[in-house]
Amino acid sequence: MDIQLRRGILEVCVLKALSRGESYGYQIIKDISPFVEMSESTLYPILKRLEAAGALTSYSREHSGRLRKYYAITGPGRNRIESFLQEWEEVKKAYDFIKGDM
Amino acid sequence: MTKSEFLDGLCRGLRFHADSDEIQHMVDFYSQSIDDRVEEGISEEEAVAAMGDLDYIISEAKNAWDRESPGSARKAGVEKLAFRSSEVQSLSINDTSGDVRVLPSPDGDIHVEYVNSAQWRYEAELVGAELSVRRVRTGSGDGSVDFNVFGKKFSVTLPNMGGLFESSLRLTVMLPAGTCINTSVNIASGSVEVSDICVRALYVKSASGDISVENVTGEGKVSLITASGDIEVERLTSPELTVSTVSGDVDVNGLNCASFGVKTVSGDMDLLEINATRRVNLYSVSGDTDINLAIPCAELSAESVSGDVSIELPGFESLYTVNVRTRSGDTNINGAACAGPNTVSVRSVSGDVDIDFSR
Repeated sequence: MDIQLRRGILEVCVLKALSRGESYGYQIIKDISPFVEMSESTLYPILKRLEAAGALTSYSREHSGRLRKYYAITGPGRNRIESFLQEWEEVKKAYDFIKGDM
Repeated sequence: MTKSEFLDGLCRGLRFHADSDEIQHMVDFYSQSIDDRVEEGISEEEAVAAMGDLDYIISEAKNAWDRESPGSARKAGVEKLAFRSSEVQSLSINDTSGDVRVLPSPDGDIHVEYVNSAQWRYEAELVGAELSVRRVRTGSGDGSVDFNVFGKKFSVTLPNMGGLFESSLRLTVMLPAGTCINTSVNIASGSVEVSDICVRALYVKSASGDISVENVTGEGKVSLITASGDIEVERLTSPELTVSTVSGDVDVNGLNCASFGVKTVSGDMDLLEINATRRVNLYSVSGDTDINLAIPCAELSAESVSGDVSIELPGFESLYTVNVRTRSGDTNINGAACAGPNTVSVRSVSGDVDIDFSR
């Protein structure tokens, strides 16, 4: 799969995982892994990019005597999921057209 | 691998590619993920293994950072780094044009100190067991420096300082006493100074700079090569020393070895206190050759075209078989012809030959 396309899809997957509520690195991986292959080395730059783009925020909170960093989706993050789904409708139409007459 | 070994490796692998805050974020992220997995009941080792291959993680992070902000994380100015000597088996310094010094370390670690300029920076990296230091151009070759402040990129163009920056480049590597590693310095210009250390093998090549080696013990071969620079050796112990220069002079004072060879074109050789047990080979075109042996050497040969050759041998002439051939040069041997166990053979075209015995 094209790298840019894959990166875009993975970013939306992470936002989707956060749309159900705040989460942390390992939990995001567990939520996404049944559908898309995801590791820490893939997730870290995605979280960084999404935070820089304002699609999510992060904060640290104490958990079992240590600090754990949590991530939460923002308004622009939710908009991004919406626009991805809309764009994908067009991609799907194109896909159906391409596949239909094969 | 333990968690701390993993995080330590991550820090070391990334230290030249991002600032310390950036690295700390990444280390915290992995540290937390490992803790979260351990909390679920798996062992620390299994949790670390689940992070994936450390080298792959490091190279992926480097690529990501380079894509996002090329060159921005590298700071101009002095950088000091330390490496555990137990992890390093060889040192390789390449492609630099500044001066290089290899000196003893004040503690048990290997220290690398260098000055980065606007146009050039050094990179020191541990690849396997080899500590590799090289000089590379900074991202923008035009003398501009990129800064990344709160996600915004700024570029500042510095005035053209010509060669001024380059001449101020200086690299120092400090090796702990007792660690004998293969050391190789291969630079375009600039002087190289190696002193008061022990090395396994030493290879120094500078196209135009001087080379100085003082109070060094080499467990293996020592090779010193330059085109126009002078070579100076003082108190060196090594099984084999080879020296090569085109126009530079060669000065050696105090050498303990089995084999010793010098080649010059127009440079002079001044070789004192030479303890070579097996073989000495000297070759010069127009430079003069002066050698003083401290102990008899089994096989000494000196060849010259127009340069004069002067040899001082220890002990009586009965220890040597001397064979001199010259076309137009004068020959002066201060002793009778004998058939001793050590051979001395000298050839010259027009250079004079002088052989003396310090009985």
